[in-house]
Amino acid sequence: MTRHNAPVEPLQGLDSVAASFNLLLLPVTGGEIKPISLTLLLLARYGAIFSGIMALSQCYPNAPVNNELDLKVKSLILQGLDEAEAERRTTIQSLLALTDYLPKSKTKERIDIGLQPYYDEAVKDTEKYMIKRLDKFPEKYDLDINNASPSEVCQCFVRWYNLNITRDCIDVWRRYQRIRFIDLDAPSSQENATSKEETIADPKPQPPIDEIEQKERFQQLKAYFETDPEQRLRNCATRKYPSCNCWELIKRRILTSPPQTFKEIKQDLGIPLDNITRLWYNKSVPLLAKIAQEIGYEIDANKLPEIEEE
Amino acid sequence: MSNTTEHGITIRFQESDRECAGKFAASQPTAEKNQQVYYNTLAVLAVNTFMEELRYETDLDAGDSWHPVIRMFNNVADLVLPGIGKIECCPVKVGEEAISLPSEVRENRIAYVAVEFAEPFDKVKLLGFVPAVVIGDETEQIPLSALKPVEELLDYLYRIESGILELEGAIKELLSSPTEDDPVEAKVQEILAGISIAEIVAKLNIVYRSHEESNWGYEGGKALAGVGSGGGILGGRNREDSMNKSSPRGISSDIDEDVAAELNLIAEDLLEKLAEIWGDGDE
Repeated sequence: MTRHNAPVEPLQGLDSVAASFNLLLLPVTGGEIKPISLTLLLLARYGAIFSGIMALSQCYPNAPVNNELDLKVKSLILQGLDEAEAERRTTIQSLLALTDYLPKSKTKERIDIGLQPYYDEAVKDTEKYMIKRLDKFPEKYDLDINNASPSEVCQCFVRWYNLNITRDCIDVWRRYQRIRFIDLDAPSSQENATSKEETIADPKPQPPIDEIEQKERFQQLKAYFETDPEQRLRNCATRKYPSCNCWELIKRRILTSPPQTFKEIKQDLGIPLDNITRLWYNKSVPLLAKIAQEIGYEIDANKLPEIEEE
Repeated sequence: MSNTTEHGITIRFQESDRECAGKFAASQPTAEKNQQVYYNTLAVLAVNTFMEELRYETDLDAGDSWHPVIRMFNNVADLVLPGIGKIECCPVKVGEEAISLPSEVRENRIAYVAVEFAEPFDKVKLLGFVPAVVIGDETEQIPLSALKPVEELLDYLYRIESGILELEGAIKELLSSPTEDDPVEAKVQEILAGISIAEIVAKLNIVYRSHEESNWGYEGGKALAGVGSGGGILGGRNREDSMNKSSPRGISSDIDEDVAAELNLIAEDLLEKLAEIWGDGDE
């Protein structure tokens, strides 16, 4: 990984940075600073963040990422974790300032081009989120921050940053598109879990309470689908293609192992795919649940889908 | 295991997740099925938590994995993102090197997410994902080394979501135009009606990223017809091998040349629309 392609801008204080590298910045009158421009500007920007770490990597643009950058990221994260949420802003801002120089981080230039117009607005949300959720970062990436190598911490940080900035860009994009999105303030189910103690490890699923009873009921259900005793399934068909009925689909998609795909059913029956999928999702699927309920399976009445008319 | 899976994203379960999985598992007829449903349910709940964190709307009830009969007969762990499509949440145990894809999950999916379980089962790790369009019809396993970092799922979903918004109107118009006197148009409509808009966008996304603009029509047409670029890159049978070699456009024998030509034109038109929102396609 290299950072030679990191975007840069000239900064104030260029003279002093140049001087520190024994370079003469002042151009000939009326001339330009081209001969040293790009390298020097790069040096200046990095130098403004923390001095002295850029010389080597600029001389050798393909050299591995400077460990000092990784160290800086790790130390800032540790510092942020020690701080209370209310005091963390400066630390997070320093971390965000470094993202431009971290390989693979989604800078404005590197994020999906469709999201670039929303980046500047989104990054404010990302900052807030990271201030609030920095505590969750190590757990999310299963990191023992104190013992992990700086490079490992830095890589995980980039992934976390990328996730957050992309999510926030999409959010802003959605706002502009005025399409539905989940309330930003609503905590997710995971975020509600405040500590490890809240979740109790449960090593293995428990076997069915009454295995014999479950087996019998399953056989009863299966037999119903196999025989269609009341002809409810075969009478449920599309008008245009009577051969395409719920019974036919259930035999092929539920009773056959492995189940047939819609494409395979289409080939067998010679019926357009959308007729098959409509019949399946609108009629067969709700009917399956209804029959299971009649046989004795506990199904929440509110969750029973309505059977749509063709 | 690839680098991408070394640091998956950890999702911690809540007690209610385990209760839900236990309840679904308890009504299964065999111990083996009981375990399968238990892990499938937890895998779906973990991805659901992740998607909620990313502020995506989800609909657990709409998935086959939440249907009491379908999950009993089929091996499914799908999560519905309304208006976008289904994600299959594939459980994998520590030490395994691939995720299994039973035939029932090889269609109508936009992506496969690998969910790693390890004792004591109080949390899982999302290892990565694979876009469904790179899966062939007969792909039975996805090696973990082929997974993309799970963070990139967001970019992929954004492409699909923005593409759906862009193409929805154009595709609805294509599907609603009268075709009584035109068998070619009728066949094209039948083909397009059999694919969800999300699938169309996902197929065109692959073409967009993999081919020069000058080939968009040809490759896009093949993808819409269900051969070539739109599927089968990762494992399984390469359907292109079995297509009619005599066809000048390389489309399978049941699609005649006029239909292929029309699909090429439609694909080119749709890709040009997508290019306006997706930019130059550089990663």
